[in-house]
Amino acid sequence: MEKSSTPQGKLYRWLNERYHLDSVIHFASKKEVPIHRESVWYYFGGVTLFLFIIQVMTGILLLLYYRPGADTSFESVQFLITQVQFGWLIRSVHSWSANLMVLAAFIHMFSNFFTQSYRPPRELTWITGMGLFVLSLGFGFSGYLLPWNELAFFATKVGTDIVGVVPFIGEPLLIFLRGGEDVTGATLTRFFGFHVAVLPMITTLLIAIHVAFVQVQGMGEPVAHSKLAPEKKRAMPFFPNFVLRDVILWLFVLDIVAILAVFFPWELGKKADLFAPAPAGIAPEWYFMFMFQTLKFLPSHVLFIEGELLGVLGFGLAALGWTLVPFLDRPGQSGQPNRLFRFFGLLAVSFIIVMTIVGYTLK
Amino acid sequence: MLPGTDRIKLRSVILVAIITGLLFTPISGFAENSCRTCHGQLEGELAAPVQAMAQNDVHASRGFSCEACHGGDPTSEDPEVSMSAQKGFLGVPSARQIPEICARCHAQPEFMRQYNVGLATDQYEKYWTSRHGIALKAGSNEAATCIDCHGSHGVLPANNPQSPVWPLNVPKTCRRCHEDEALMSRHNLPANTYKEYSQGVHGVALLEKNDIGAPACNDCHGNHGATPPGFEDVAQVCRGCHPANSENFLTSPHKEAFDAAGIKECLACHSNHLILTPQDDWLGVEGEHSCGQCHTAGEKGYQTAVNIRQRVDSLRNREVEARFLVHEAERRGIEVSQAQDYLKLARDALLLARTMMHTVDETKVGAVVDSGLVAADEAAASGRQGIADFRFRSLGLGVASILITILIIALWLKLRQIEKK
Repeated sequence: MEKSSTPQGKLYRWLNERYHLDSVIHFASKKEVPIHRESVWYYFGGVTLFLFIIQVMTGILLLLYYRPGADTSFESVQFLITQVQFGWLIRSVHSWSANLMVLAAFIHMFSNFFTQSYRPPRELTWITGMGLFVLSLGFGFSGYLLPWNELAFFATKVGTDIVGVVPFIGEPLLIFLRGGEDVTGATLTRFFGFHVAVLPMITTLLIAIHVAFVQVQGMGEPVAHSKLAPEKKRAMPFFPNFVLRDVILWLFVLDIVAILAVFFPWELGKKADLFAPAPAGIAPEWYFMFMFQTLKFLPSHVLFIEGELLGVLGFGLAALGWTLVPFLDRPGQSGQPNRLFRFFGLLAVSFIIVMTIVGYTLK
Repeated sequence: MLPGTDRIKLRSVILVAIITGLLFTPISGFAENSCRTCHGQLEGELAAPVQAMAQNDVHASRGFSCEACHGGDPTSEDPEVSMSAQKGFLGVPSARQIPEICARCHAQPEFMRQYNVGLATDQYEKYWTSRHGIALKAGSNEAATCIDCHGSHGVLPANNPQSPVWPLNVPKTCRRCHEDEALMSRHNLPANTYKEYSQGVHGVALLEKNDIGAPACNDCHGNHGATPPGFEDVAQVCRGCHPANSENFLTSPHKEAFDAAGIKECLACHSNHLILTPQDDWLGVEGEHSCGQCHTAGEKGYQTAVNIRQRVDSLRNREVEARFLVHEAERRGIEVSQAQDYLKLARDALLLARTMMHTVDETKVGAVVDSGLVAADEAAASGRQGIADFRFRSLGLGVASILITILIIALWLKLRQIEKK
């Protein structure tokens, strides 16, 4: 920054004397982002972060009108989208952005898996990322119920029922989540608390740690690129080159969110009725569909184990294994590609895509 | 009397038949029974009752066997004993005997209570008041008796969907006789009743939509006390399900006029079996079913019909327009639940106006129409506002997209400039 006598220059000097901005700028100007054929995947972490920021901003605006409660939630959302200026826009952007955020998180996670970016020394970056991914699913699950509409009510009922089959902790966990035996207004206020206080607090903390790790350690390189001679490696400055590209992509994503919000505003549906029979077409959010469909396919019993329990345990073990990938991928630890893990990764992606499609098409 | 050797042969056949029956019969209460054993070995009509009784027959399932209706002694292996007059054997009962046979149990409350506490026991008494019962008493051997509707062997409970008296099956059961032109002509009855009923709103609802709430033949004509409704009865029968229309009619000037002219109330416009879905053009003075059938130009009633038709038409047209606008707004993703509430009010008012029309009172119909018009206008305004909102949103998106695009291009140019250095 030019140390001129202009107002901007004076302000910079004032801030620099107190917060040592020079060192931050020096760090940013020295930081580089590798350029290779997989570089495009670097942008999805930033997109996920950008969509999270949209979530926080629109979420705060929604809070100005949203009133949690079985008698007020639906009505307050209805009031917001019909009577409040741009209320429909805020809610639609919040809903679309949430879904795109989960999608971006999926892409970010799988791209890092396939490029083995979790290799030492970035094990904890992967683990904090996994934590953030689970939290984003938690945001989706808890937020889905908040408008207190029919589909969300029954989907939450089914979703929390599944939690109840976990051995030992399932039943108490179900009671804890629902605030009782059944999904009621108590569940709604509880989910509201998770959605606007507990999850954002943990998420913000984890994002700070995750981003700090990336800044300190730099971007992970694919195995093949890391083995190139230094003179054959290409890179771009993080600031401003990479940041400008990030911002361009963010603006593009913002426009997509706006288009979706205008042309496909998020439906409110019918208010939940606790005594009504479940309507046809009860389905979870798309990112839970592959698990939901798998559980539906499982027989009632496999040998001596209940099918649903087996499914839940299977997904639990898979998630644990996925989280511990940095420690399980031995070739990766020594900088070698791992064909077996790549195969498992492709299998997982195929499984998720196929089961999601089956879930939406098979009636 | 059979000769001795033939009697021994017959007894041997019966003995073998009884042993075979004991080995293979699945119904314990029906096992040691010479009726079943012998008839089971026969063919055609003589074997059919045994086969039918084994098919979930309500009587067999409660331990009743052939002798309960036909008399005789099924414990005897000797047909001359088991089917003897001394043992009360009736053979095939005549039509006249059937109600009496059924009444032996079904008209006895104490007896029936053992099997079905809720089952009525007045069927026998009612039957003799019906056209069927009266004809039978008069000596007709063609009148329907219990078995013509319920079946004889293989009788199913009335609440079994396979039963011929289950609501969905009743019209087809009645049709068996009432579509027989020769039989109906002998009794001066039309044979097209089923055809007309099946094309009417009630028949379509019951037979095509399987709506068991829709009336079958017995819901208007009664079942055991079956008798065609008389002059006063028609409105009473219709009133059971259409009380509002009926009450409105009773307060109208038509009631007195119809009575004086001997016109059957509801039937005058709606017919009886071929009941068509009422249309708004039945109002007014044009068309086959319209008020123009009786009223001619210049009469007060004629003008009233014209006026009521205009009012109802105005509400229907406004409601259709409002529904279109709300639908268009909804198609564009606009939240229209409040507009839908207004639409429902308008729709309800239209239905009420069509019901209120039976009063032929312009003022009463007009008041309902006016309330509906207010609701329809509110709905239409919401729909228009929704469509305008969508246009505003699209315009806003267009402006925002242009600004974002300009910003993206500016940043891209800046990036290129930086990277060229």
